[in-house]
Amino acid sequence: MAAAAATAVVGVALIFAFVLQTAWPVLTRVGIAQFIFGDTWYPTRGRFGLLPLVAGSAALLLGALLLGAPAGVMTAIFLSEYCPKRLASLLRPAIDLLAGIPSVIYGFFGLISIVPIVRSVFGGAGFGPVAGSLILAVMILPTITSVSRDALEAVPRDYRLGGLALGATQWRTVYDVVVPSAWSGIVTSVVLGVGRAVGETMAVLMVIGNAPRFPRAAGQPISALTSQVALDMAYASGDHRTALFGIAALLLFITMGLVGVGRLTVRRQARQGRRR
Amino acid sequence: MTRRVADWTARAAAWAVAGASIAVLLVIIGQIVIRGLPGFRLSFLVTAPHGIKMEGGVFPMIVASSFLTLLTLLIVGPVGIGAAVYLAEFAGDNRLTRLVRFAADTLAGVPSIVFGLFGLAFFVYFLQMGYSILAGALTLSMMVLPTMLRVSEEAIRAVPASYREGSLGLGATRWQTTLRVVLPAAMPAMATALILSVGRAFGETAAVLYTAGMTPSTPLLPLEGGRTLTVHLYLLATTGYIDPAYRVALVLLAVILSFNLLAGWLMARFRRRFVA
Amino acid sequence: MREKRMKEGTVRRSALVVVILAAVVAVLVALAGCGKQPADQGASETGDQSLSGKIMIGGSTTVLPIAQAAAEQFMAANPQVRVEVQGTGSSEGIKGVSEGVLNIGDSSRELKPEESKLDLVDHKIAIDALALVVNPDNKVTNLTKKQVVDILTGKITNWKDVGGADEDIVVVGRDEASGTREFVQKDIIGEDAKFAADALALPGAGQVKATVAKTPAGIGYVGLGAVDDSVKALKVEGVAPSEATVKGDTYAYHRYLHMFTKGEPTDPTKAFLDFVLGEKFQTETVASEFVPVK
Repeated sequence: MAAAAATAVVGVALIFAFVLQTAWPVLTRVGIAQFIFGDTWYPTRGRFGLLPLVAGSAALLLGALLLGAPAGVMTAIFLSEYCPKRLASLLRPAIDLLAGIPSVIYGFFGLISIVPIVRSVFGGAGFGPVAGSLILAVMILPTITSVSRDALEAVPRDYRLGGLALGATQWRTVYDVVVPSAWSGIVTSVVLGVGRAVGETMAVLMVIGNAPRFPRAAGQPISALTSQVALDMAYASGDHRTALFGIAALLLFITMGLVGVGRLTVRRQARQGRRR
Repeated sequence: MTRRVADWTARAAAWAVAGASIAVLLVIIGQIVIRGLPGFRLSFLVTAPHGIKMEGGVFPMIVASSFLTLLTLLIVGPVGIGAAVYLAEFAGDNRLTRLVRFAADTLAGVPSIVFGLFGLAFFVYFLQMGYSILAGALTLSMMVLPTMLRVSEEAIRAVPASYREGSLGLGATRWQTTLRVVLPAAMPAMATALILSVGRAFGETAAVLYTAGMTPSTPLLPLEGGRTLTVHLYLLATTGYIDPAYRVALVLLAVILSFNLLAGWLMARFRRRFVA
Repeated sequence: MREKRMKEGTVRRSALVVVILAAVVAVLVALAGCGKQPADQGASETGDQSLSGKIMIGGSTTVLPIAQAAAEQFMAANPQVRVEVQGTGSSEGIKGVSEGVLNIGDSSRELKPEESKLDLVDHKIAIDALALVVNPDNKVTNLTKKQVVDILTGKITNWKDVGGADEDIVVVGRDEASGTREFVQKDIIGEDAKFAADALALPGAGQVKATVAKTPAGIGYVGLGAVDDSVKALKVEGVAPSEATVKGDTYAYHRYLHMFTKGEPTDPTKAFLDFVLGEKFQTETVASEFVPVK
């Protein structure tokens, strides 16, 4: 039993050790700062600067969050506060289903439906940050919705009744009482959404055009950390291959950072809970 | 008066945003059904693709996806349940459990492409498995282990303490209690965990593209390669065969939907048993 | 009630045990198989009648459809042989065959200097011609080789500079793993030149074609076999791409497709290559997408 439990630890250790060990040569040769902050990614020419890819991932994330986070939280508020019970029992599984749709289907949908729309609105070929952000927003919405909803529904009914009894409207009660009580759960949901958006690969790869350049216009192609790995791993060799492991290492550290942030909010929530 | 207006506005906004979110789901599913269903023949499911333009059906991909998922299940099921039993029943809060939880959280957040890159370098090349169902299943196992672990642990913890007390009171050992009382009671919820893991494994693309490979032949042994439905969809979409791509997307959606329904049904049964 | 639950428990427990046992067995079987190399070890030495074994093929996505069609037909004729085909990019194919993971490495490019020391034997199996495609509404019908290079490298950025409308050119390219892109890099714009920085890098010929078909100012490059009515293939130096102009060597952009083996091939790999180069396969299958070598 303990051995089974230890497997998870061994798995993580194995991935970290293997990825870091493989990435080490390029990290030391190029230098970690130059690797992360170098402004050109042209691996076949020995240029291993990740900044354009980091910027691409950041732009996608920002766009996805601007669209997906408010929509996701609002949908959660709707489900827990406004939605008639019977409708809610229909919508919940629908949202869960949205979370379970394979990313390649989102990518396919983006390629067929969203890229042409972006093309006709913004010109260019349509592949780029806008198409990528739209697809990512749709993909993180169910995650944010279901985790936020759980947090909102965990707020005791008394709080709501109290607000209403004091003469507040339903919205004021939600806004001033329910949402603040569920705040750390909502933050957690957004952190999970960030994780999903940063890590998404296939859907992004199919709609952003994959040119490793700094984001500059809606319809101009960009590239992201994850999709670049997926595109290059098929053929990369030598330093290029180790550079991909460098990207993987960076993604691992981002993941650990997000897990850390997630635990911090949970801990803070626990403290607040005690104070109450 | 303004507060009534604000209240009304908020209500309308909640309905509108939630409506839009659901509309997106309907558009994606609707488009795939509308474009995928006409021209869909049962022969699509039972014949192999042939010829230079990948005409014909997806039988080998269905086999590859199922084989891969089943093998993943066989690997991750015992490990995940074993670890969950250890965490929930035997270990208190010790250093190992904290480490396991942190490892599982990290593993849960690692982007699937990092698993894919790791799998290619470690299982395919380092362990010389080649592009194979086994390499893909091992990669996927690492990926879905956290889901499996967490949901199983919750399931075991949800079994009322009175069950254990009753069993221990009758003179059963702790081990007997776990095996004969706790596990059977937690079974439906653990089955849900398995199904959720399976759904993720079945829908994954980035982690299997370069581990299980993309050969369109029917894999019969763990060391043979195969092309999953998701990879097939990706290849069809990028190579430009859009009509069959819709059909594959439809098959994928149907499978994911049935996984979800099955998981929901099992979970409902579980709740009825303990909550009622 | 309690009895029933106990019984259920027992049944479930045995089910659990069965599942765990099955898993252990599966893992053991799998691990036992691990030691095996995907080499020709199953190959029979008694001749064509009883060919058996496994052929692992991987590499260029350009060669993939040919290799796949060949695998189907070859397996139909030799049911004891299992042929597995992967499309992972030329470099991965060359790497795979030289490391023994593959029996045949498909490539749409020649070997790089550092790869020529790997003891690989070259089998040329088809000729691929590269077409430059534009939107059907584009007025431009012909480009010089110099203009092609300048457009692909981003020196010419507006169609009016090559006789078209006043519109910014959108270069719709392929991803770096693609053999097609490597061909353009090596044989058209030159090894040291850089592609236009804004060029798209799409992971499939179909996407390139679909994007060009819907982007008025787009220009892309695809294999001649992929060209259809949705796009317009440009003449280069006044010559339209076709089987005749490729074989006659008047159309500039064409290249050989290769299957590499580590050393001289042995059966069943040898028999497979003979089949691919046979007249029947060349004229019936290769010719439908590419230009046959024979």
